[in-house]
Amino acid sequence: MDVTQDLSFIHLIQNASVLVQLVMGLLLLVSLMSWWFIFIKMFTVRQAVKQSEEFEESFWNNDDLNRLYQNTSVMRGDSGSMGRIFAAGFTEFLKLKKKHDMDNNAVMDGTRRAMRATYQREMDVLESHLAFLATVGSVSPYVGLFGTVWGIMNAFRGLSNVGQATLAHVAPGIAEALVATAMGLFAAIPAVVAYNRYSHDITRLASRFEIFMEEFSNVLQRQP
Amino acid sequence: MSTIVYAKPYKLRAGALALVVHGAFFVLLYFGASWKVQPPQGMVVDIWDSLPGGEVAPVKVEPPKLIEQSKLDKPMQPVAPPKADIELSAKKRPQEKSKPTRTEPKRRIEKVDVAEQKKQERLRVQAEQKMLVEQKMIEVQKARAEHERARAEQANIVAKLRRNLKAELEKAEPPKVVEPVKSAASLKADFELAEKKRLQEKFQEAVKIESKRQIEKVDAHLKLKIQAEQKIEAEQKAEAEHKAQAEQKTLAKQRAQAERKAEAERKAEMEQRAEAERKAEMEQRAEAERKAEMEQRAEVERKTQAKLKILAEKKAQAEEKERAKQKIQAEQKLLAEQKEQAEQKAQAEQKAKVEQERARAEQKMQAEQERARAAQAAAVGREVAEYKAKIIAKIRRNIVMLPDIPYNARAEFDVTLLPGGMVLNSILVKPSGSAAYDSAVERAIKKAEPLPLPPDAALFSNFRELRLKFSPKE
Repeated sequence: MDVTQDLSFIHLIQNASVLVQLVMGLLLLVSLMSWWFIFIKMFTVRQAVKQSEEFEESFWNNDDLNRLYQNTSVMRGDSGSMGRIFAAGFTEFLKLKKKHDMDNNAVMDGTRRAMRATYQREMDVLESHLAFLATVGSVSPYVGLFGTVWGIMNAFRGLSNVGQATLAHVAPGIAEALVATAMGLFAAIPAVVAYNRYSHDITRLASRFEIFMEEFSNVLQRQP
Repeated sequence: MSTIVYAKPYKLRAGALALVVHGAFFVLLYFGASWKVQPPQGMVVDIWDSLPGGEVAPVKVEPPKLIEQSKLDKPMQPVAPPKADIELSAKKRPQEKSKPTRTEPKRRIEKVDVAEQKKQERLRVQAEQKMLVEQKMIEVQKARAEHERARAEQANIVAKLRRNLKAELEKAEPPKVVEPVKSAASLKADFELAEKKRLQEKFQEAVKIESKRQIEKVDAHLKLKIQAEQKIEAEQKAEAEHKAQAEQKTLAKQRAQAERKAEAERKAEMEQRAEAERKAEMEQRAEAERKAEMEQRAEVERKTQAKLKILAEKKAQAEEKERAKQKIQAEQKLLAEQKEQAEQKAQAEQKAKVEQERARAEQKMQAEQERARAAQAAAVGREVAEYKAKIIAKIRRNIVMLPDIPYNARAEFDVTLLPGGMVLNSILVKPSGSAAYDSAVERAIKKAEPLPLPPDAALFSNFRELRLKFSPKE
C-alpha cells in the first residue's frame, strides 16, 4: 500500500464492502428521519407550550365561561391542546346538565371523563415520533458497530491472503469500517438528546393539562 | 386529530432543516478528513542520507562516473571496467541513487561533449580522407613518373637502335660513294645497299612496332590504373562533395533559417514601422478629418444660425400675427365668457333649488329611517320584553308557594343563560328577607330550564345576563 493513498471520506465509503455500505446507507436514512422528527417536534412542542400559556391566561382573566367557550369553539384549531380539553369538558357538562335527573356528581364525573379522553388524545399526538427518536438513539450505535465489525472482519480476512502483514494492509479496511460507527453515533447522539429534551417538555405539558383539568372541574362544580 | 393537521406545515421546514444539518456535517467530514491525505514529504531523502560511506567516496567516484556516463550515453560501446573497481561501483550505485538530481546536468554536459566528439570524428574522417587522397595522388604521380621513365627508356632504346643503324649505315656508306667508279662493285654495293636499306627498314619497322606495342601496353596499364584511381578519386570526391553539400545544405539551412529569422525580424520591424507610420498617418488623417469636421460643423452651425435667424424673424412675424389674432380671440372669449357666466349663474340657481329639494327629501328619508329603526328597536325591545315576561312567567309557575311568606317580599336574581336556554348560574342579588321565598325562587329557576328564548339567535346577547325580580303579590 502506498503512503499517498487517498484516505478521504468519500473514498473510504466507496471502498467499503457492500454490507458495510448498506449499513451506512441505513444509518444515513435513519439519521435523516430522526433529524426530520427532531425539527417537527421542536416546532410542535414550542407551539403547544405557547398556545397553552395563552389559553390559561385568557381562562383566568375571563369570568364568563360561556364567552370563552364560544371563543374557543370559533378558534377551533388555534386554541391549542388546553383549549380543546376545555371545550370537550364544557360541551359534555352542558349536555349532562340538560338532563334533569342527573346527579351533580355524575355530571362532574362525565365531564371529567370527556376531558381525560381529549387529554389522552392530545398527549398521543404530542408524544408521536418520540418512540422513533428513542429507538434511533439506542439502536443506531449497535447498527454502526455491526458494520464496523463486519468491515474489520473483512480487513483481517484480506490480511490472511498476504504473506507479509503490515499495518498498511489493515489500516484502510479498519478506517472504512470505522466510518460506519461514526455514522451510527452521528445518528444516535442528537436523537438521544432530542428524546430526553422533548419527553421532559411533554411531561411538563401533561402535568400542566392535568392541573388545568382539576381546576376547571372545580370551577364547573361551583356552578349551580 | 386536528393537531396532526396543524403539524403539517412544519414537515417541509423540518425536512429542509434536516437536509441542511446533514449537508453541513458531510462538508465538515469531507474537509476534515481530506487534509490528512497529503503524504509527509522528504521521507525518501532522510532514508538515503543516513547510509554510511557517503562521505568516503566523492574523490574516487568520479572516474567510474565517467564510465557510467559513457554507459548512459553510448550503451552500444562495450565498457571494460577495471576489476578492482567492483567495490567502487558497488559503493557508487547508492550514491548515484542518493544524488539523482546531480547527474542530470552532467548528462547535459556529456551530450554537449558528444556533439563535440562527433564533430571531431567528422574532422578526423575528413583528414583521413584527405590523407588517402594525397597518398593516391602521390601514387598517381609515381605511376606517372614510372610511365615517363619507361618512355624515356624506350626512347633511349630507340635512340641506341638508331645510332647502331646509323653506325652500320655509315660503315656501309663509304663504299657507296665509290660506286660510280666501280660499276660491278657498285652494282653489288647497290644491291647490298638496297638489301641493307630493306633490312634497316624492316628493323626499324620491327623496332617501331615493338616500341609501339610496349608503349601501348604501358599506356593501357597506366590508363587502367589512372582510370581506377580516377574512379576512386571521383568517388571520394563525390563523397566529399556529398558531405560538403550536406554540410553546405545544413549550413545553408541554418543560414536560411538565420536569414529567415533576420528577414522575419526585418519584416516585423518593417511592419512595426509601417504600422507606426500607418498609425501616424491615421492619426494625422483623423486629425485632418477632425479639423475638417470641425470646420464643417462650424460652417453648418453658421448656416444653421443663419437659418435660425431667418426662422426667428419669421417666427417673430408669425407671433405678431398670432398676437393680433389672440387679441381678437381674447375679446371674443371675453364676450363668450360673460355670456357663459350669465348662463352658469342661471344654472347655479336652478341647481341650488334642486339641491334644496333633495336635502328636504333626504331629511324626510332619514326621519323615516330613524322611525323605522326606532320601530325595529321597539320591536326588539318588545320581543325581549315579551320573552323576559315569558321567562318570568315560566319561573313563577314553578315557584312552590309556602304559607308564611310575607306579601311584600321582593327578591332579585342575576341569571346567566346559555345558548340552549340552560341556566349557567343564578345569583341572589337582593334577598327578599324571607329565606324560604329566596330558595323557592332559586329552585323554580332551576326547574324552569330550559327557559324560553326567542328563535332569533342574534337576540341571545340580550338574554345572556338577566336581572329578574320576583314578588309573591304578582
